[in-house]
Amino acid sequence: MSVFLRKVVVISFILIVCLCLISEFLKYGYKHADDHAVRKLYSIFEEDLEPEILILGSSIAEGAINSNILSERTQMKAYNAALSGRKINDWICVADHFLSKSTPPEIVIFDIFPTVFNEHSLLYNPQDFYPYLDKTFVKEALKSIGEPYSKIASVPFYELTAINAIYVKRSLSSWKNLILNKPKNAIHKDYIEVESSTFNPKDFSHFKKINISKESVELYESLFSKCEKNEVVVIMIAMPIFYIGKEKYENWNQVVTIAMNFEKEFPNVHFLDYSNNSSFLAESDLFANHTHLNTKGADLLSRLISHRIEELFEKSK
Amino acid sequence: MLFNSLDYLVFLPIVFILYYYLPHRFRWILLLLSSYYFYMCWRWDYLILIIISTLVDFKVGHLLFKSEDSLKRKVYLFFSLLVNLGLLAYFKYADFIIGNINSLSKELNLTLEVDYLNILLPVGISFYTFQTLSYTIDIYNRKIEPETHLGRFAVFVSFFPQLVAGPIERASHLIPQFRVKKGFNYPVAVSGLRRILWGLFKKIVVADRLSIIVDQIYATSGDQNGFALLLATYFFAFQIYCDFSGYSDIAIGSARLLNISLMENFRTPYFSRSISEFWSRWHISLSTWFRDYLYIPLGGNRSNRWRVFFNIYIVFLVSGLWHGANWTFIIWGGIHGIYLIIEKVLKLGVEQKVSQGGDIFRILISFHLVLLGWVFFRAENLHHAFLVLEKICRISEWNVGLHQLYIGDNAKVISIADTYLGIMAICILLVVDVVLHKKKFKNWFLSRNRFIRWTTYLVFALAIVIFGYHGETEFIYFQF
Repeated sequence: MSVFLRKVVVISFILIVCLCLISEFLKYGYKHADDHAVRKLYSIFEEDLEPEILILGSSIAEGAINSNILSERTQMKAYNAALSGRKINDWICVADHFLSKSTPPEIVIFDIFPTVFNEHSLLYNPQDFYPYLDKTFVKEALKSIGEPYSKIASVPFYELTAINAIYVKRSLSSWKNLILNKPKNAIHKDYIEVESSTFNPKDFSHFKKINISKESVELYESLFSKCEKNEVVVIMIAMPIFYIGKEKYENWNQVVTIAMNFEKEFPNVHFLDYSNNSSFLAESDLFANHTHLNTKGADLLSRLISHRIEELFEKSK
Repeated sequence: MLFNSLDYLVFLPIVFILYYYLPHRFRWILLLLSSYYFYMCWRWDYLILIIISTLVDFKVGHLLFKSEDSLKRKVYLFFSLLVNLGLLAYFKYADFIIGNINSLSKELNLTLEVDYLNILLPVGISFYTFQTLSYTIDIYNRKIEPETHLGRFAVFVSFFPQLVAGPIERASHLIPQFRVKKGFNYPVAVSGLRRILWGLFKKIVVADRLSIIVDQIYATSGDQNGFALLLATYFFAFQIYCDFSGYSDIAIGSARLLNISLMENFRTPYFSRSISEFWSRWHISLSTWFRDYLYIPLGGNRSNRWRVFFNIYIVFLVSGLWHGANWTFIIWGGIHGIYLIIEKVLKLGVEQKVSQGGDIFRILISFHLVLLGWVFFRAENLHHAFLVLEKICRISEWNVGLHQLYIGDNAKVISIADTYLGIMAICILLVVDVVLHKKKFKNWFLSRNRFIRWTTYLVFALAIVIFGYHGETEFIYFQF
């Protein structure tokens, strides 16, 4: 029997080694894919970033808050970790990553907007987080997204399964580029500059009715509690919206009420509402589209936010 | 506990190691405790049904053996049938009967409406009930002697590898294996592991992957065209085969690790050249059960022609009903009964020698006849089954092409990759099935050097991880 057991152990070991090798191979390839989100996640998880101001959220925050201006004006190191198409379901693991550091950020900023609470909206490539599955909070965050990602926490090597074909495909194509020594596109920046302002103010195609998800609200609450525990100040920002667009959001007031309730409930949370700010409202040259600021708009907003941060810190002193 | 779960991956090695380290006289305790634990992982309270069945049949078995009085023996047997079939009828068929009473009362404009009991079906009840019944009936027929050790008998009723979905074992085959001290047998254990690996491949890679497509197409049959439904029915034929035979493979393999042999349940049934051959190769333990305990007592082949037809038909109707409390299963059984009667009338047994081409033709015909039955087996109700058949028959409205499997906004989308993977998995299944059942191919593989054998095992294990559909999906036959 000992021969049998020995052989079973050996073959199981070989199998696990094979799976680990495949896993590491795909992980390495994906981590080095030439893609903005992947490269930003690489910086977040692999580089020793220790920002004092951390910006989180979706493309709205990513394009609207210039971390350089914030750093310069507040004299605090800022990093824009927001990612296009993301909701709290997946970026909460980025927040957890920074909060778990020995020197967590002093301020966390994120955008608040109806779509971030939308229970039906799809997330962009949760598979971008797969190379970092060795971190428990990444697994937990992906699990909360729902099917088919919920199995990531319970099925070993789930990232290798056929259901994750995009992960495998992108990783292999990244390996191809690595082998062919193809240069990567433009230098990676945490903040995305959007020069355009030639949008059609009458195009409301992405203003759909939104169902506020209870799970998202709970995730925000859990984030605030964690920040409170780490003595981190949270700033929620309702970003400027081009005035015609705002009227189209049926849930806008509901979202503002939620944000104000958060502010009341958690002493470390502040809510800044720029949605009615007269500097932006009708200035189409500050917008890339109804909801996203362009570089000019981002510069202005970043200066305003820096000023408010200074005010807030003055007040607390 | 499911065979395709991580829990079982931990449970089985623990049982395996303890089994061989324990002295033989204590092994029954280990097997009984592990079997009860295995069942209790699903629902602990339904274990009481297994215990009732065990105690009743143990006692009845002894009374039947001791008694010489024919009337008393009949009463004992009746009591055992009443308890076992009574439990089965209550837990499995009560709501079906109530549903039919309510429908009938509605048709007759009566005000009678019975409330449904909404009972959760105990997993494996049909299997262990038939297993214990065979024990009692065999003692009644003086074919076997009763087991004297209650513990060993309890292990026979609840032996975990085959407790919830068979193979339905016979006491004469299984109980003696618990009595004899069995040491570790290297070739048997290795063949057990091979069976487990193959069973997992069938279940996780083939059956579960095909189920993604079948479930979605059957759930939206109203919106599907005939081609998609036909393809889904083909896929279902392989899904159910791999789901059930995969379970049997893992059961047989697990038992082999303990040096216990379970009966074979499948022998490449889709290569059958007639329906009678199909039934000698599909769910063999159930077919032989019905043959021995229903068909032969009804008179079997020894009566006149019409009586034989009647016997066949009754057996298949009951077999259909055994599968589930739904008219679709009864119709499925009825269809197979008709096939067999027609075969008998036309004398289309497999004994006749035909050319190889003729054999292939007969295999294809038999497979498609079985396929027709699967429509009823898979459909939610009779209306659904006829809708599927009607759409399949409207060939002019078919949209041939795999892209037609995409489903609209409200349902999950079936990807082309899923379809191709399903087709690829079926091809591998057919090739390996042929290899495993042709001794010369099997021996050729086993005589290869270790590198080739181990690489093959690793490839299958990797395929299970990479191409499998993970998430502990239940086996279809659990519901029966």
